[in-house]
Amino acid sequence: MERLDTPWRRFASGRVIALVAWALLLSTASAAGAGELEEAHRLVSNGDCEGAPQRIEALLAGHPDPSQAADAELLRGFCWRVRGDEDAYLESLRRIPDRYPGTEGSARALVSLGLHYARNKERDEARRCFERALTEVDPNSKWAQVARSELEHLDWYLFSPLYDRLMNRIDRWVLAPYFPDSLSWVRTALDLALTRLVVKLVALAFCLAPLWISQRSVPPRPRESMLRGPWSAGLLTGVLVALWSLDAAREVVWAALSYKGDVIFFE
Amino acid sequence: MPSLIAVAFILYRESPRRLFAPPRGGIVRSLGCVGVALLSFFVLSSGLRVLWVRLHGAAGRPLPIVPEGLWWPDVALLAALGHYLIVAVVEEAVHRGVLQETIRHYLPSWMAVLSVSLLFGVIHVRPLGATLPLVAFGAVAGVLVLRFRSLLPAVVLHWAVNFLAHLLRVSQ
Repeated sequence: MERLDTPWRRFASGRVIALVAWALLLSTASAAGAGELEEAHRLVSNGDCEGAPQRIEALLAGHPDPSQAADAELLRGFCWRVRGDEDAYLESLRRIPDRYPGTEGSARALVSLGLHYARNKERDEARRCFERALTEVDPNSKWAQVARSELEHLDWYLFSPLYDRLMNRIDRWVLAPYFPDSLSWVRTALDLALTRLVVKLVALAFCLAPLWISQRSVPPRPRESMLRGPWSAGLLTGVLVALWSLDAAREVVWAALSYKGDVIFFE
Repeated sequence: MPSLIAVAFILYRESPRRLFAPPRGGIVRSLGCVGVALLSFFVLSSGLRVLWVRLHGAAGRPLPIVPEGLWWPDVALLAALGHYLIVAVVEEAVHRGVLQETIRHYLPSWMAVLSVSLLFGVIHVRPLGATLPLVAFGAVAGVLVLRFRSLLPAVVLHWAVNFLAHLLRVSQ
């Protein structure tokens, strides 16, 4: 204690004590914030988008660390969106990258925003968002991968509105919709599998229609073939429909088995 | 599993020796054609663009072309090799083996190749930018089967394209 007698030593030891106290306070606040965020997530998972924003406001008032704050703001934006306030949701997405740069939540917000612009055919804005998302986080992180993939696919949807709508419907599942429980996850997987099955069946009908007509009207031409004989259009249809239906069923079962309870809340 | 059942049914009805006969015109020539087709496909599809992005980096960060930390024999990579081989055998047996050969009995060969490659592209249910290369791939595989009277060159091409695409995807 003798050494602390000099003013400098006393000042330094005071700073150390203050720093330790501050760190302790921060870690306590952070743990409390994590609890609040978890509770808000639980409320949203149960479909309570009215109660969750109050929890989030309380969390944000406690000045949590930027990563938690970004996650909390994303969740609050999602609640606004569920309640039908799309503008407030988009505004929160635009705000997050400026307030909490370099966080995972920031990259996630930029990806969500980019997907929103891509859906509305604002490709330049979408490209800007995805490129910025890549600079926000580690290039190997999940959101950087999504952003990179979206950048590569950005120019793909240029054609018929029907085709675009179909692909958007499929991408909505592939790229993270909101799955509050395993039932909605399986329902979405079933929706996707049936959409794919319908596309395949329509394509098969177009492909086999000329064959079916030909088989009704002309005998097969003798050709050197790898087959023992030509298959009938009915048999081909049966085999392919069975194959694709079983495949669709496998996809749905796999989705049911692989549900991990993730709550992902962007487009 | 459904794919394996389908291919088992096809092999039960047809002769595997005919479907997977040695390529007519020689193995070396058929492998040469597969190599040329693979290179052309890689150049014409998005492969070259992907490679360019990897080398120059997205947002200033270059990415590895081959996955980082890859070592042989990497279990996941070997599993992918096996998986893509099964996929190639099944898809070629169904599309080029049965469908295309059946249609050829009633319609001109070019029409059989075209309709089956269109079907092959559409049933993958991808965006149009990805469907067009799939249609092109289907056409090339169809021509290979017609030229060499065997599914083997098409299976090798299919397997190689899928595996290359997998490597690029994993290295992301």
